[in-house]
Amino acid sequence: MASEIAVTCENVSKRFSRNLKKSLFYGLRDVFSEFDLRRGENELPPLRESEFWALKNISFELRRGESMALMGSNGSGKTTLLKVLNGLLKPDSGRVQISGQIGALIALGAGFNPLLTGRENIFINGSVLGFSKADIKARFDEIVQFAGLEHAIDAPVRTYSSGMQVRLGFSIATSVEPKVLLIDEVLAVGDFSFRTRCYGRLAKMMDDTAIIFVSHSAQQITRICRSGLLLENGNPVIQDNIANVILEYNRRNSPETKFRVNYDGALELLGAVVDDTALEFGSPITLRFSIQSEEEYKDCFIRILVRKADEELVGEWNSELHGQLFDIPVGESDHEFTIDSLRLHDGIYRISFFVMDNDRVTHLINAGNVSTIESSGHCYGGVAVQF
Amino acid sequence: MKVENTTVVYSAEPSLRHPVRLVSGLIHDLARAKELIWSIFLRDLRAQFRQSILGYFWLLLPPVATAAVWLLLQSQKVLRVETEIPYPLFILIGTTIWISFVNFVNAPLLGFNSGKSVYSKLNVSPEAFVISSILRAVLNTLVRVTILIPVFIWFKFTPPATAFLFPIAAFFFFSIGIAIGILCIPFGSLFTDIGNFLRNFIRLLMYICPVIYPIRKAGWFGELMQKNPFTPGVAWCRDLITTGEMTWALPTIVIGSIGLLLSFVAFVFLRVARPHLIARLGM
Repeated sequence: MASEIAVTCENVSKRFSRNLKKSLFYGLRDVFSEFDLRRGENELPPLRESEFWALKNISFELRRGESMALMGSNGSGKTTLLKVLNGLLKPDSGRVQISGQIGALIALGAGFNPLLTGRENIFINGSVLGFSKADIKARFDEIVQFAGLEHAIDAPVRTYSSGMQVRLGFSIATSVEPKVLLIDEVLAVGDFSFRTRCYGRLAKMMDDTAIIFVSHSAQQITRICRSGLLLENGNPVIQDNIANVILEYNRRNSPETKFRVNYDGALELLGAVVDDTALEFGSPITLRFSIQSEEEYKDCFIRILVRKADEELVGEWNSELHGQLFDIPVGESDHEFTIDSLRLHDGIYRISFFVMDNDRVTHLINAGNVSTIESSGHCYGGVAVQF
Repeated sequence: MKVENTTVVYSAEPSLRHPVRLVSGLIHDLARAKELIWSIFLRDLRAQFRQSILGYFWLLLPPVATAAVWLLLQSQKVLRVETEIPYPLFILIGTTIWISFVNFVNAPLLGFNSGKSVYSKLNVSPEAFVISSILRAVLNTLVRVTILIPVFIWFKFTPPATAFLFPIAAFFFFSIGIAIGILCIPFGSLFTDIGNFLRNFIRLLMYICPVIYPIRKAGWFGELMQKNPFTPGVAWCRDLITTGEMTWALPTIVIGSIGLLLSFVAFVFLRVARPHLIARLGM
């Protein structure tokens, strides 16, 4: 049975200006446009000089118990959309309807005064988040304990490390369970054990809360979200299950191939290619490259690296381990290496390689992101390399 | 913990189309922000002098410094001001009242700007920062006025019974300052010109108020001083604790009441302007 709708976003658009003077002036005009009572909520106002759409026609619905990722490169409108959902910005057209208490994991520790102690700041930050003093008092010990700051709670917050401040902020903000939770890239901080506890706390909320999560980390997103919305320059690109959204995001945000040669410049990589960029699970891939060299190198070997789209390294193939050493002659030469079976979970991967000298230390060639491959045929389990 | 099962709508519709909803929303938010206002007030108060050795001395310095300059000019016969009460007392009361007034004019915008990093990211009412800033101005005024008591004793000057009305006079006088302050927020938060204008304009305004000399009776300057809407407040406040004269009571109350009304209107206007201001304040 479908649970109750928590967030409805209908055709939300918002324009911004990159020109500061104009932006301030438009701001003033917008203030006075509130007096123009004929304006409807559904008409899209025209763009004024130097303006662009920070958000255009964004629509979605989210029920309690559902979680959606907002993805997109920097400046694509994610934070703007969160601000509209949180009621900070008024859409230029469209409407947002939110049912139930909204919580926000944004700007953790907002209102902290660095000169005051952690204890004092818990009450301040709590009232900023709309909790009463009695609520905070009742949860005080739990907040301190979750943040792991029992020893430092009476020290001024400015003696805290940034990680400690964020831990305290997170602990306060999640001490109640809101019906709608907005999260803006806050989980990247804190040490490993704290992050693990954060996920634990979020997981507990997920059954009864609608979560909207902004992050660039595919790993974080897949842990929390089942669906996603990809934005590009304020426009919705795709709204689908999270796997497809991440795939599309990675397709659009692959870095360009970077070649680097060795340090004395005696070698040049003329070109490199992976024969088939669509990889069936468990099938071989072949890397071909050509080198122009001014010197001769003996008994070199190659390391082929496989990275996930977010740069996380998942595997390496070393030709030396397969008894494949090769020589680089003076002049132009072509080389070819095949990995017999690459067992990668569905997704986008990047291939880069090093050509190593026989001293095992010198990188003769360092070729980053030679090719992007898309693996398919195995969608079970969440781990990249399957063996 | 109480869970609010309310539904909120944020739409592109002009908020003034539903004036009742607008005003009731404002009142509801302010009522809900009581604890927030108080905790911001306490936070700023506690932090204000935590990194300072002299503490409240810095509150007293401006009126005393201004008074000292004019006392020097008077004692060196650069100018001659005649007052019914001892001149040092006259001028110290004047500068104390005036600097408190200026404090009230500046407080709303300062408070609004100080909360920028919070309400531009979280759904927190900016009014809370404005009000707590005004509360601090109230406290600062109390401290300054209290310091006048030893000065009275020093000059062996007994204030008349009307001194008990002083808080009422101050309330009406300062409310016009608060109204000006809140009205300036929508413009002042976007353009720094407003803040600059306010500071410079108010500095000049002091000279057409009876702060360092009594009201001139004759000439165009006298007329200007008497028609100045800020004159009655300064004059009545001082009269109540010195001569007991009530000539300026009615004008102060009338102008102060307009100030109260304007403050309310300014808060409503601020609420209408708020999302547009946040949109332009940046991250």
